[in-house]
Amino acid sequence: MDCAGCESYRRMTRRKWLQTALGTAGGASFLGLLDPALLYAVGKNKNRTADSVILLWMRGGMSHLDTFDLQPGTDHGGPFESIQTDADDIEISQHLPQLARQFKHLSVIRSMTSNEFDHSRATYQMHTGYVPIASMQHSTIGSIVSKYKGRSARDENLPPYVSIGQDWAAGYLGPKYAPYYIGDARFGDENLRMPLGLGERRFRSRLKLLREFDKTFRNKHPRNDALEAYAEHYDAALLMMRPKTAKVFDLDEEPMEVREAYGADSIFGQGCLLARRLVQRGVRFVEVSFGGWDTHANNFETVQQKSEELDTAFSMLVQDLRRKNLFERTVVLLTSEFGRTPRINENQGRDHFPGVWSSVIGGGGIQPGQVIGETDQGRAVSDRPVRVGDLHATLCKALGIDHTQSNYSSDKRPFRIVKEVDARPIKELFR
Amino acid sequence: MRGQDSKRRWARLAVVATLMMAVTSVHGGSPDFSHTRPKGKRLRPEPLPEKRPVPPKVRYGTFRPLNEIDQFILKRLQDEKVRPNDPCNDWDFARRTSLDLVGIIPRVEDLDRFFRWKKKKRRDKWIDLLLAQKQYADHWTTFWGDLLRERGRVRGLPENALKNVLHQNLLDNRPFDDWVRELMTAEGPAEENPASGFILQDRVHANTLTVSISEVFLGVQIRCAECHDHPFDWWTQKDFQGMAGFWDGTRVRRRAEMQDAKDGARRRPLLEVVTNSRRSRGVFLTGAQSDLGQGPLGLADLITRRDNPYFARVAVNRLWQKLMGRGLVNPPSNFSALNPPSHPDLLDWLAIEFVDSGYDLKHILRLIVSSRTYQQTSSEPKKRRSRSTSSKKTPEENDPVEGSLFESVVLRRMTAEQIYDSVLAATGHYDSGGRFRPSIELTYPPRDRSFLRTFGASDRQTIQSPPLNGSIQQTLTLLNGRFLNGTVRWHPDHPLQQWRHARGLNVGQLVDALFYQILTRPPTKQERRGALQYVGNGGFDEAWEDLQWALFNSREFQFIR
Repeated sequence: MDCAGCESYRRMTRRKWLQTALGTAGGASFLGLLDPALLYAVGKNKNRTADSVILLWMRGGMSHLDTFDLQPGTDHGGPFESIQTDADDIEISQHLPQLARQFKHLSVIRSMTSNEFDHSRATYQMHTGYVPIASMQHSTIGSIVSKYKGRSARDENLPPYVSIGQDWAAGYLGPKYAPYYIGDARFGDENLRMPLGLGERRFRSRLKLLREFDKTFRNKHPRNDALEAYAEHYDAALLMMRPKTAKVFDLDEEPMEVREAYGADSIFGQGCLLARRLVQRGVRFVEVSFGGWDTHANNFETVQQKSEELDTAFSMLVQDLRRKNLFERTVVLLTSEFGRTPRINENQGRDHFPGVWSSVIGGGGIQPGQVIGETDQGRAVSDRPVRVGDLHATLCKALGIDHTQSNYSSDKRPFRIVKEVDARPIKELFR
Repeated sequence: MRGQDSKRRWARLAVVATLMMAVTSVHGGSPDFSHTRPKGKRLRPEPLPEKRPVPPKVRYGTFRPLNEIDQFILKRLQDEKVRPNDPCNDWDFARRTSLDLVGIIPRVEDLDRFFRWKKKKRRDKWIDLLLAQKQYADHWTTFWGDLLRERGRVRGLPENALKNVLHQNLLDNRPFDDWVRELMTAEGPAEENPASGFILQDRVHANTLTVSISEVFLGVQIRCAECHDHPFDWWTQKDFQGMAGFWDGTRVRRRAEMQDAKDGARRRPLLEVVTNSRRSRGVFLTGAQSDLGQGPLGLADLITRRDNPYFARVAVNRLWQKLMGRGLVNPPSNFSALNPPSHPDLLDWLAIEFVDSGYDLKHILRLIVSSRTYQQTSSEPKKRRSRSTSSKKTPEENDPVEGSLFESVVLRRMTAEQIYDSVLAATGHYDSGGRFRPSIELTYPPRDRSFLRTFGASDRQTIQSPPLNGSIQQTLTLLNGRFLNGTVRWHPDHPLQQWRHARGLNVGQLVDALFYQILTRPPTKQERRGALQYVGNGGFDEAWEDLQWALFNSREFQFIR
């Protein structure tokens, strides 16, 4: 069924009908309600702050001792050797050789620390800045960034927040800032495509019927906000279906060499590629989730495998962003919910360890080549602890967002962007 | 007058609360709230009065009360010089009540029956019919399940243990206080006593249970006090610990292993609740004490006692909020001296009615849907007349929020389950036993990214009324997703095809039936013409699918009008 000829025919004609159905750029929207000026707060800041964030989320708790904070020669150091990166005084794992060659563009934070031992609590805290409480869902830093940065003028049809591989609730900021979720970057979003076998002509006539049947009710309720919001969503969805926008999610648009360079078989690698495509079109916050770091057993075998996959994808992402002149306006942050114990358990594993873990950050004007914090052989933070709030404040500063502002939940409770009053951006990362 | 007097006091407090919140926001989230907490004596809500408030006699123009609820509502509207909306027509009534009471839209054969009944008796008979259906229990199981965070797959519990209990209680219309007491005091393994699923699903975690029980049954947001004294209410951490103390002697025991139903070889742990109330040290929020001790039995007693100021009021207010879109106390989980009811006497009247009826949930639902207030049109309220007296009022007594006087009915979007089940019902998949199962047959919470979750079904992790906002994903799901495009197939078993054969309908009549079935109203002339043009001689299955698709995608379908 899916022969290449049919596929290209389908695309071509679809483009044609959509252009007719939606009107060309600047024309009237389908439901006749779209007012871009009202819908999207287009970021206007002309000063030199970053536009976007790519968060590489190492799900499960990445072992800092076997990636970015190696302790070879100690009892708990494990078998991995460290190698010199091309940044002075930064050494990382031998299983990250390609990334080592990109490290002059990156900085490492070795003194991340928190108190949360539990995956879900720690993950929640890293994403929202708050520990979970029984009956309130906080908003993630991704939602906050989308709220303050708004949709980009590059492609107003795209949602500002996309999460690949892990979904997040909207929290108190409401569904407008919930992430647009992609399960597996290789397949994009099947609902962006018309139902199989429907044909563009029929889809178009369906939309015509819909518009017809929508009239009576709309006229009856001329000033209802909820109904108008629905119209916005229909317009936004149809706009996302526009070939130019929908194809952002289609990795087949990339040359084969590029897909392979990110790791052709790596879901995470392809997620990184999609992330680059998205920030290129102006998406504000892209999270790419990379699971499997919960190495209670066979830590070294697993971390080596994961590292190799990470090495290919992350190093390629940095190169690719730089090549496309996106690196200077995109903050790339790699982090995890916690580190892993110095103690190697009887299953050759390491257990949960929130006392210390590492993050890597770069791009978006972040000062490269820095080592933030020190650990006592990876067992405890010995200098300059960085807490979740400090990390969020750092992201905010890079993006030009005042992290001390508050937002209100629907029941009028104030939530500061960064909860702790004493949280500060990491100043060494800024010129 | 008590009502007037307390209203003024509430209003003043509300202003204070707002100011306090402003102060809090400036100072941020630090745990020192001494400067924002209310000063002075704790204001406690009064216990339910012994005698119920007398519904006021009211003559307000041509507006006629249908029952006592309307007397309270119309009186207030008359005082405020606000004109209520007109009564809705029979179509809107049938659709709204059906969605509210049984969670699905009425089908064409139901409507046929409804309109055959005598006009005067029609609405009452319809309400009786709906309340007697099994789907009443299905629909309200989701409502209570969301509040109680019912999860069907919990390690150590039989699948859907708690859900089955809730469903059976609703099916039997068991007195509400009775089954709430049971949930809190159930002992033993969930295998034998599935009601223990409520406390077992949280592993008898005292803080979680305290937050949950206080919020759901007392309407009190004590959750702030879990970590620090409440920033703008009187609750302290000590109150929280007092409530949590009821669970001190209660724990989970891994009693035995039970065989896995699917795979007989694997054994799973079976959990049970064990209570040693001698170790419990519970102190109730209101300071009341129970003869049944300071453990779960005492807590259940204190919560469900008639003199508890919260329990009955909170329950009827939840039902009111669900049906009217806005609580008499709003939001319904914030009963506080700082958040007064809009109609205190009506709230008390309903609460006492609830108690006197033997905590009969159906009785309260019937009262609400039988009222003129509920049966108004959902069109936007007419502009309020400015009141000549307003200049004399103090600033804190500003006009009430539009809609808070219930002069119109709020347009609500259907819940995820209402949309999902209604599509199934209208397309003949609801009880076909086929590929699609109605929501009640699914184990909750539904999986991530499922149709239900996309439309806001609860993840059952936090207590929240499901969000009813739209999203791009929802729209794309309806436009292009498999669910809707699969269910609208025009197969020979489609209920409308069958209806057509049974009644010998022509194409025009079938178009009408399609509108009855999906939008619960006849098409307008223009819509009828457009649809007829589209289906031509009616011979193309695709055309009927497209019509259904377009109607399901319309905003009118997704909103309860």
